[in-house]
Amino acid sequence: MTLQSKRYKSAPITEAVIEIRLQPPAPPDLSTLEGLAKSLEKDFPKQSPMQFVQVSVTAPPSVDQAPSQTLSHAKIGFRLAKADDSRVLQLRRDGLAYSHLAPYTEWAVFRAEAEPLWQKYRAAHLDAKPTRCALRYINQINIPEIPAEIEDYFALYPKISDKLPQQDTVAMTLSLQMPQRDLECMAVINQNQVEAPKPGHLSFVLDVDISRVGIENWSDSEIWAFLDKLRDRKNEIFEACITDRTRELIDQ
Amino acid sequence: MSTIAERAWLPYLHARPTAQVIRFAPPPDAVSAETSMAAREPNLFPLHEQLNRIGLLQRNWDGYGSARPDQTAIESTRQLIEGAYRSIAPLIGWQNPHASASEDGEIVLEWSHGIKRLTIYVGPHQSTYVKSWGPHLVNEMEDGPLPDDWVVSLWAWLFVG
Repeated sequence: MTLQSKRYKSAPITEAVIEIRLQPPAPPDLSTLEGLAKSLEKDFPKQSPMQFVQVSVTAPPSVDQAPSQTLSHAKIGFRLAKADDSRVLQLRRDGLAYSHLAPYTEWAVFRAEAEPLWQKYRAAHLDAKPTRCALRYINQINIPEIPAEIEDYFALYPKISDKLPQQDTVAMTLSLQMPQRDLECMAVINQNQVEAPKPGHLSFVLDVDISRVGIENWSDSEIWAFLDKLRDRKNEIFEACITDRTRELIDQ
Repeated sequence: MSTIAERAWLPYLHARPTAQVIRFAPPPDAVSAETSMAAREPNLFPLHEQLNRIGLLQRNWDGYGSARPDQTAIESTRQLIEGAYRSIAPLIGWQNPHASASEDGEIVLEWSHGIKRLTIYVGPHQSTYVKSWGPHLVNEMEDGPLPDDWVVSLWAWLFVG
């Protein structure tokens, strides 16, 4: 079995997201999304509108005055969730995001659930071109020892210069943007220390988001075939960021 | 050794491989550094954990006969906070609220900034707010049903001005 196809007994995935964006309609039309949400009410009984805050900056009448900022809010779509909160579907003006929350099952299941939802969304937006497709996997890894040697658990971690006068930190955040040239896409890797859910543990988030833009002329089948490739790449990245010690932890 | 403890103790004593930065410029057209919109943002994990703990409380959890925290209110709180975070965090940053339960089973979210304080009571059917900007209960306090645009009208009031 290759590393990228390894399945763990206790996969640390707290959320997996498939997101496909479209050119948003102009003028904004939420009635189509509202109808779509209603048609999915049986599977997704928890439904609520999604709002977004917009900032408008107005140029000042004269150069010695500061520009004024105005905050306003706008509805951007609907958030749908299953009764047990295991899945969340965002139907937005600019696309669809489908989330598989913990406990994670497997890619085949996740993909098979997401594709028909996309087809319904797509059917309601036939004229809009796709602009971006992405996979995001958020992992939370709980280390059952304090203190711990971070390189025992992660192959990716920040280097702190030993010349710094103090070595203590109170939080850890690492963010990388890594172009994946062979797939012409971008991987954003975020690693953060977060509050541990259990006493005596350290907890880290390893968040891998891989996306591709410039897909305006892609067909649906091309998008889904590419998502399969992104899934393989996500696995390669995850495996490259952890060590055998973490593999032991998540395979128990 | 690179030890990390509860307060993130990170004394690195050995040379480590470094990242090769290939450019400092917008990425080429085919790639974007924008992230996808998750249902539960990692920065809100501590708040979701706290809501999980609140959800486990039973009736009379405080010994004074308080109601069990309402499960619908907990879910509404998650959605309220996720929506606010997505809107606000990229613009002006974010501060997680203190989360607790009220004696009526509502979820209570509290933020403070200087003398300003914002408290939101999330119930199963309706949410309300109390905002205050001083100790005077009549002249320096306002309350009411939580408006749809609360992120703009209340949270931004608290932190932006």
